[in-house]
Amino acid sequence: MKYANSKSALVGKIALQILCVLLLGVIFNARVEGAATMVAEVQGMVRIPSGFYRPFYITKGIDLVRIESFYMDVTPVTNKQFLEFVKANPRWARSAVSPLLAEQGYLKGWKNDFEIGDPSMDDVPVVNVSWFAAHAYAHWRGKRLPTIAEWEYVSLAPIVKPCHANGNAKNELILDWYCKPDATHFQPVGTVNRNAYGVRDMFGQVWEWVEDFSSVIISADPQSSPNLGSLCGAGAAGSIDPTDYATFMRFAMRNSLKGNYVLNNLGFRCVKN
Amino acid sequence: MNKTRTLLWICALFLLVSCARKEKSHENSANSEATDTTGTAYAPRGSIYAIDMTLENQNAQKVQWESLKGKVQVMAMIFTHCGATCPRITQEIKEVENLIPSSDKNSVGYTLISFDTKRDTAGRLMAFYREMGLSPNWQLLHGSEEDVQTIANLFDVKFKQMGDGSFSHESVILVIDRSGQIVLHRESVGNDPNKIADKVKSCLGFE
Repeated sequence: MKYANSKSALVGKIALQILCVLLLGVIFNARVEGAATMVAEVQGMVRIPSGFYRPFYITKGIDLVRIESFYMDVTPVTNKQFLEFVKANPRWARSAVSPLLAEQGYLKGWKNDFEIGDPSMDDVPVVNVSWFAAHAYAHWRGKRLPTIAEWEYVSLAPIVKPCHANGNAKNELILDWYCKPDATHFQPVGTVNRNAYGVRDMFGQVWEWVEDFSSVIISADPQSSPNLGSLCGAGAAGSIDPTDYATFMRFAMRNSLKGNYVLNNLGFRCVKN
Repeated sequence: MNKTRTLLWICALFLLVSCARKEKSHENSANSEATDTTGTAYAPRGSIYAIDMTLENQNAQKVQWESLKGKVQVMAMIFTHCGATCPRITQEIKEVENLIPSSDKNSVGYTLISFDTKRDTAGRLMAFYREMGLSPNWQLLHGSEEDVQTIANLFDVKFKQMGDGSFSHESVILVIDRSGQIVLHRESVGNDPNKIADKVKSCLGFE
């Protein structure tokens, strides 16, 4: 019962966050920092050049974060790729996984533990995976999950295909997708859009886990326990651009997750140093 | 402007609907969730030791995460440069230790895991161990950033590193039974070591 109450509180929290977005935002305002150049694809990954990222939330003592060069998967991880991992690591099979590591609903679109079932699902993004599962997958591939800073840094690049979209146009595109009432009919990965780095489908298919999703907290005082309920007012006040709805929604979304949660539009991709 | 607003309302509704659905699915599986009687409860069933990790303790010894299994554990995440909260967390766990009957002292472990992968070396943890006057039943552990993030997610503890190297973090004390199941997840500190001790005793087989 207590658990249910805490979920209600979560719903309330998200509602508040959304309302804040509605109230505080006035205009779309895109921030695209750093020109992006197309880099050759290497084994399904592209090299992201080093640079600086201005955190969306102001953190005491941090203005710009230096991002070292890294490789990022061109596309989100697919069902077929994830199945290879499950076959090699049967403790991550649907019926074997611990509920502490992946809640009920983990891989629920699959036919059974070791079969996806529908061949048309092979190359679409895997969803209904928990952070622990995504983390274990990345580790198994010799990769890791991107940090929030890395993911957001890459996402700042303009979209170049199917059409050039930057600034307001890009934000409109992202928000149109966030607003789709049924965003669970996926296309094969890599077919939706491509940004200037050559990274595909960061928007338009699935939301993506990041390594430090749980660090989205606002507190001026590092000694005190952060007041998570204050994301609304303090969250908007502490963000570098309260009118950037698309980014705000990603942070609100991450803030609402726990490591064992699974969602039918949440997948992931990996990076490598 | 109007279009924007309409779009955002649709977004809000969509998110609310998906949350409502999610809540329902949780209610259905309510019997698979562990609850506790003393504090906030977020503890899905399952052993925290299901993940392989190797950490290091204050004696610079390698510690397999799974080796903590078998004892009832009182655990928390801290960093030793923390000004106020972390010493308070540690102090409260010391009070819990004092409430455990001496016949059972060796059946309970007290484990602190550091957020600070850079500064909290084994040596620094040993200094904190001495400073706080801890008993041999305590282990202070540090590990890689990846392992710290994993433990924080197992414990449902949010944290973030600040620009000065300190950490903003939730203060949580957990009681973990011999099998690795989280049986208590307390988000407040310094209030009532008795309740934590009672939970430990119930894991030890006391009424």
